[in-house]
Amino acid sequence: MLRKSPGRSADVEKALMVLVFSVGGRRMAVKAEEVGGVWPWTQAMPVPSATAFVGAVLRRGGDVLPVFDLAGRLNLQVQGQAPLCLIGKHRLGPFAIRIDAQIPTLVTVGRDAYRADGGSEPGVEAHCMIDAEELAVMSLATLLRSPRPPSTATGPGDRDEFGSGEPHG
Amino acid sequence: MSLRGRDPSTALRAGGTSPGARRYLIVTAGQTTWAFPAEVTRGMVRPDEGTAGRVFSGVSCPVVDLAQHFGLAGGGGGSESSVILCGEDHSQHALKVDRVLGFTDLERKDLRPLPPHFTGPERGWFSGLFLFKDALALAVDARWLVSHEAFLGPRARLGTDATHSATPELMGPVSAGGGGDIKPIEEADDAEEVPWQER
Repeated sequence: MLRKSPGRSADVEKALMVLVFSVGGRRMAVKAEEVGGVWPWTQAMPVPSATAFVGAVLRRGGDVLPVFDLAGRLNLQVQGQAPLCLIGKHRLGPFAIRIDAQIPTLVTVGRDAYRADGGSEPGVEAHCMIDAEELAVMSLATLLRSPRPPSTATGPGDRDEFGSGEPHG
Repeated sequence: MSLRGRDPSTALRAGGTSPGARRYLIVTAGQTTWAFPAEVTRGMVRPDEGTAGRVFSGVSCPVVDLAQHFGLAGGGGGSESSVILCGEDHSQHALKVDRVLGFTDLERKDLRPLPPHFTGPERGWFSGLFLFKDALALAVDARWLVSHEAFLGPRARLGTDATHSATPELMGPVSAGGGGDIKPIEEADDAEEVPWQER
């Protein structure tokens, strides 16, 4: 389901493969090595949760994947009649992200077009220039440590520190 | 895994489960399929039968819309909505659900833990998930369900904003001194008479 774009002609040793996708019309990228696949979106089941932006699961065959609400994290709405499911790799296990219906593209970018980001935006680890457009490179590992929105920060007194990334219970 | 009485090959005798299995009452509320441990599920009543003034083991408890309580879309009930009564003598809850599907027996090995990406108190609310038909069911933790803070206190609520509105819909209380139309679920051992059987 991925298109391959010629991208920049860089030395393989100095190149980085990223997947360009969009959420709510906003184009962004993620390192290809952090992506486990892209599939048609299937119905997810909401799960009551106090973990920031993790509030649903979906079934894929015999597997159960948690759903990270990237669109909600970015205050966007997923676009398209047939949204896609991006599978993210994580040390806790794979997880699903609902993305726009636009087919993602694999792009090779040279290291010179890749600029690390010190945290100007949560979940963004770098920016890269692709087709004369500067795209945020999302860090899936960091996304899962997203803080809870301020409007929902109050609540149960025994609430854990959400999104710490450490399994417990 | 089958709904009681739906599949003759696996139909269960009343009160009987295999040694490695646990029985759950399957309901839907909002877009979520819930599984309540049968041992803490006491009975059910139809909302149209009226809930005010009902008695359930002499204990009064408010009726909480399950989906709305957790800020989930949908819920509110329809023509198929029911109120299920669960808990123990000292702590009971009356939960309004959209639809009662029936019982299923689940081998313990088939219950999967909540994915570790969930790191909040929900890990204490739910004992896990399991594959149910072509979808999933969310197993409510029996210990949490019988605890006093479940549904009644603020500890189970998620917040107060529009995204995670969790204000419970309190209906008429199920209280002492009322009538006796509550149906003990375990009394029905004939699938044809099970009012909550799958339709």
